[in-house]
Amino acid sequence: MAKIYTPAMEKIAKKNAKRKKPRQSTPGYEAWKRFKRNKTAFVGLIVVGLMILIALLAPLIAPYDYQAQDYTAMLQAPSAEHLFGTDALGRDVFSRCIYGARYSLVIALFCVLAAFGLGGGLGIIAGYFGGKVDTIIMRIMDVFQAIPQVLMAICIVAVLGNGIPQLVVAIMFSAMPTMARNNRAAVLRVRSNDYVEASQAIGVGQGRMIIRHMIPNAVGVMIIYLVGFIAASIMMMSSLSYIGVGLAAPTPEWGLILSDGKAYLRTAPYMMLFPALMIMITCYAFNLLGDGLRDAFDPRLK
Amino acid sequence: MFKYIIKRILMLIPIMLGVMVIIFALKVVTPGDPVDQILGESATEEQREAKREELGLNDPIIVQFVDYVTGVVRLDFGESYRTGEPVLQELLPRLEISIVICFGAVAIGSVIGVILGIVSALKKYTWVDSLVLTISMFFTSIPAFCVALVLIYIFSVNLGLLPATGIDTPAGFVLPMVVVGLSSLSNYTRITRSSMLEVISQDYIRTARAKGQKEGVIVRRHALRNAIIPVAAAIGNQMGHQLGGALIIETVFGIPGIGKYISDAIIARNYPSVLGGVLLLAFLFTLINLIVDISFLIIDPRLKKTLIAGNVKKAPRKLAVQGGK
Amino acid sequence: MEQKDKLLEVKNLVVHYETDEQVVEAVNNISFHLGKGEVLGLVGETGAGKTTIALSLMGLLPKPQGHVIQGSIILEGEELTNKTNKEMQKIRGNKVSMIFQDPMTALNPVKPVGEQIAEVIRLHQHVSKKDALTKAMDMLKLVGIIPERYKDYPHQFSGGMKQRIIIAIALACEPELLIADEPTTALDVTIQAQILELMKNLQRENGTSMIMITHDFGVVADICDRCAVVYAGEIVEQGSIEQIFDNPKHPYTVALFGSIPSLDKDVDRLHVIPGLVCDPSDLPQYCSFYDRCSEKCEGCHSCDPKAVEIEPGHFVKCLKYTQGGK
Repeated sequence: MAKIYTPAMEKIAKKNAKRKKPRQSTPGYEAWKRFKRNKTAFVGLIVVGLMILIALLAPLIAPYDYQAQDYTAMLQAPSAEHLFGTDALGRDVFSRCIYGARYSLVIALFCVLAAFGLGGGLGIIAGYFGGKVDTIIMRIMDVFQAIPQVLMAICIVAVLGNGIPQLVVAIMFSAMPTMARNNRAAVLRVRSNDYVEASQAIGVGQGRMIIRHMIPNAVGVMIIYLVGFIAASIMMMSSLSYIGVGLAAPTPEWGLILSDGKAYLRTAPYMMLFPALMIMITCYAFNLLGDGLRDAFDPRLK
Repeated sequence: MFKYIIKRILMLIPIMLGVMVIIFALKVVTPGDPVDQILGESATEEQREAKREELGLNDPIIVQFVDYVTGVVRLDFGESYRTGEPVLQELLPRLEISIVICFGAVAIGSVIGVILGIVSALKKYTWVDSLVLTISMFFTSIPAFCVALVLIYIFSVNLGLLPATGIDTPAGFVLPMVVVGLSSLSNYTRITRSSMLEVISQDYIRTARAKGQKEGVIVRRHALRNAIIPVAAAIGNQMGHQLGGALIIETVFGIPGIGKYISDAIIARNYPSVLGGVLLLAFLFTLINLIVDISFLIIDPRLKKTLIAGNVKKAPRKLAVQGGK
Repeated sequence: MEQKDKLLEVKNLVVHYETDEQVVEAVNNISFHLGKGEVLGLVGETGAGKTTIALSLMGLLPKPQGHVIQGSIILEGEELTNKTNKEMQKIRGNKVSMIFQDPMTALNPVKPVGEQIAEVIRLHQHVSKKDALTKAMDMLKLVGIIPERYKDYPHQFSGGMKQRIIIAIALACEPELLIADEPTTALDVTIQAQILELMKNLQRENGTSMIMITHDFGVVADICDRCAVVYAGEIVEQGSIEQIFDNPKHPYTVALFGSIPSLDKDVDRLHVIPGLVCDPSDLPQYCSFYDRCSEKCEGCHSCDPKAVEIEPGHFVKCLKYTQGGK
């Protein structure tokens, strides 16, 4: 019988001919390949990169000082001079938004690190040690879980006062139960895998087990949560700013710029539009990225 | 099964105590004297001292705590510092409003979300799938109050169809419900999608196909019920959180809900109100989750066996986690 | 085989799985037929394409990867390959039924088993819900389960019992053709014999034709009339049980028999076939068994032999016989 060729086979033959190196097949490479195929996630990655670039180069991009007030140019509509218009104090909204990338992203990053440090740490400890430790930690998390996140954050801001570190602590505590739960689940999932038992059976030591087997397998899942959490903290910050318990003016945090504009919604809607767009684009990008990573690291869904 | 429910209800007690400990701890470390808020700046030191004594603020914190707990047992949550009314009396009407909004929001979000999730799972890796995920993710990526403002702008200011603020008419509930519902849309969509994808690749779906069953019926009768557990868990969680967590939306729409009430109380150092409100929310949160867990037993007969066998608390959660990954 | 009592005829069937990465040639130019009441065994290693053959008969190739590239499947004079999914739904479970490999996962965990049997009856026979359930209870009894257990859920049954229930589902509408895909592989050895016995009896009573997919020659000898040996998506040898067992011709068949432990002879090591099944996404142009064959000759590397009939009903696909026969 002669071999039958189909169009699909020819396409692949062409593709293989183009490829120079033979395919290697490590889990990371496979994940990267799946990620590259996911166009929306790739867009997310590019936008996130762009935002980081904006944050880094803010002084070069922004035409004005974000604090500079110009009483001759208050509440101006977008123009060539003021791309996003000016606010009630005559500050350039474009410059504030650009600097906002710096503040919002950095604060969000600190929130993530802090929340992972506290909640994630507790979750990992609970998951790894199990038994009594697990029970005690998770029952405490149950208690925290029962208080709505926003209210928890407001309580903590009420205790500590306004300010960036205070805000980070507030978000850290409000995210603690969810963080702990997710990270515990990630550790448990890895721990329950057969290969962990298998490596134990062939006498792999405790330290080597954690470093070589458990961390690489759990880290992927954890990073996915963290990427999504960046978006969540940006949203939380803007919500807190909106009801006036977030950062204090004149910090150019997106949520704050946004709520500065709420009094002028009828007359100067652009004051809210642009910071809202910045928040939306950034959060969207992080969410797309997180989703793409999830698909890439979880090949079972393919 | 009865034993299981009793055990779960008993679990409420430590959670309630824990919540009270947290709030009391926050009360101790919070700067500022509640008496200032009640009497204002002009009060004399004697008046303040008398007020403190009256409110029991001079007692050791342990005594205050024990007093409060014994009060709660008798359903006495104390009086609001601000109005002097019993806290429970102030809370209940607000809770009612929040419950209506929360249920409406969960209904809107979960129905749309589940449908979108099923569609995107059935059309996986096509443009439909991408479109659905993109749309549902939109509402998670934008602060809910922005969506609220845009909807007010469209439906109230421009079209004049719905009131912008207040809940004097039932129509006033529509926009808040929609906004809160949309904000959790992608949550439902994503969970439904991944749960559906997992179920649909199971052998028993192939068995149903081998019987000659129609695709639509397979999705409805075979897949959905197996895929719904993680979704039900998500619904329970969202319901518990949105009950008190919708305060931003309540602020935007000027609705006297429980979340708004508590956040105002926090800022005003009105502790009896904070304590009572948070306690009530925590109670409802735990209760809703208990109901959801019991509903798992009805959805999946396998769990009954697990529960009777004694692996009590973790069984439904564990299954929910497995389904959701 | 007479034309008139031929139930199923598969001709030159080619099935590919296409993904972005590769094309897997799962079934390559397979032809076989099945008479009424006959039992055909498809034997081969894991990954030889046996299950794919079964799924293409059912019209259940995984979408969107699975494609029937060419060939025809004719059941009772009807061509199945160009039927729509809707038309196939009327055939599946009714004329053609399938028993799957793993009984543990093949039943819906959240539905009582009686309902799951009744479902297929309701689909293909115009009966009321109540009658369907009564019939389902009869089916349970037929496969040796107390009918009163129709209300129980799958997790309340053991593996062997579940397979009985799946058999009940498959036979509920008295299909002409039953495809059993390794029905005993996932079961305990003691249960295997019971299930095989049950299938054999039910098949004889109803006169159902059956395709038994297995990698176990013991099962084939026990239950089948004819047997086809599948290698890398091709039938390398087919014939009656006697022809294959007493007179295996293809080097692969011979090697397979050589690797079966024998009760009579005492050997230290079992005979193994060297090498691995060739990569189905990259099949050679020549005989796919060439690399592992112990009897290869020069000509084998240059052409892919055609199947020849060396005695009535006994086909072999090997160059040795192509040259010798013609």
